[in-house]
Amino acid sequence: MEEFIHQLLHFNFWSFGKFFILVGLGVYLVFSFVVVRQVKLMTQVVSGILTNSLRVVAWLLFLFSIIVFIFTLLFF
Amino acid sequence: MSELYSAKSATRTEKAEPAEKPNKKRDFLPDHQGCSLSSLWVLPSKAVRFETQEPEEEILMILRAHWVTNILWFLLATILFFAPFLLRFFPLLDSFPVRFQLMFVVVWYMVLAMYVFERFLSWFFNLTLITDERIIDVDFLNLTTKKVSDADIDKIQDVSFTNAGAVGAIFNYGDVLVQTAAEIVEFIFEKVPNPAGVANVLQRLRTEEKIEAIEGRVR
Repeated sequence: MEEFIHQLLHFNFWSFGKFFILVGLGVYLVFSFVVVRQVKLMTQVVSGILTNSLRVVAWLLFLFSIIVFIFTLLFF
Repeated sequence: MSELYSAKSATRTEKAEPAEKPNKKRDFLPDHQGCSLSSLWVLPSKAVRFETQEPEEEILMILRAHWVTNILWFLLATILFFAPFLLRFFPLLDSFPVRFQLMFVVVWYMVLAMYVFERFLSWFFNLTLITDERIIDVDFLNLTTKKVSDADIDKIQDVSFTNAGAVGAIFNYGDVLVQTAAEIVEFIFEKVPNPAGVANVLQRLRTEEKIEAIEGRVR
């Protein structure tokens, strides 16, 4: 009980904020992966128009979101 | 009547062994050539292909919504791009620790980048292909849903077009409505440039198909 009260009194609001940021970045990560898959599928439907450029942009967004997620998890 | 019968029987025999289609110069195609980012791309390079394309099938036109239709989201994205700079004048985030302020800016630009990319993809992949045999409508409804439908040119029953609104009249874009006897009875090419020209091309291709059917050059 005492420990619980101690935790309540010393509750760090900002760690709560970090949790929500990580959840948001996780959703973004999943979303950017969906974009990668979708770009792949769409460039298969119609190929030869900016195929490589679009795939590169989609992968860059995905990789960037991974980097930001890991950075936030470890150093934020 | 006998002519009609002979034409039909010729069609049947040709269907068994497809005839070589002569390389035609289609003078009814618009002069404007375009490129991969154009709303109207006439006779794209041979490198451009679609999933269900037959070996002899030739893409005549690729259509997308007119570039003007992108201006609204582009302006919005530009405003959102500069929005974090306003924080210098309106210190809304000053009560947050510096790391949270930094994270806010990073997340802001990540979301903005995704918004811009998604809107671009939505415009880029919502396209219509007109080949010498078919019309193919590719709809990129959202990031998880796509719809591809096609109809043979000879199944087209009616082609009409509209130039709606002041902007449409100024930039000459509008909707082309194609009614067919195929499974998908109605195709709408939304906000495409030069709708009258597109409707004309479809009508001419339809006539071309009819002539080919009479001459027995149906694939």
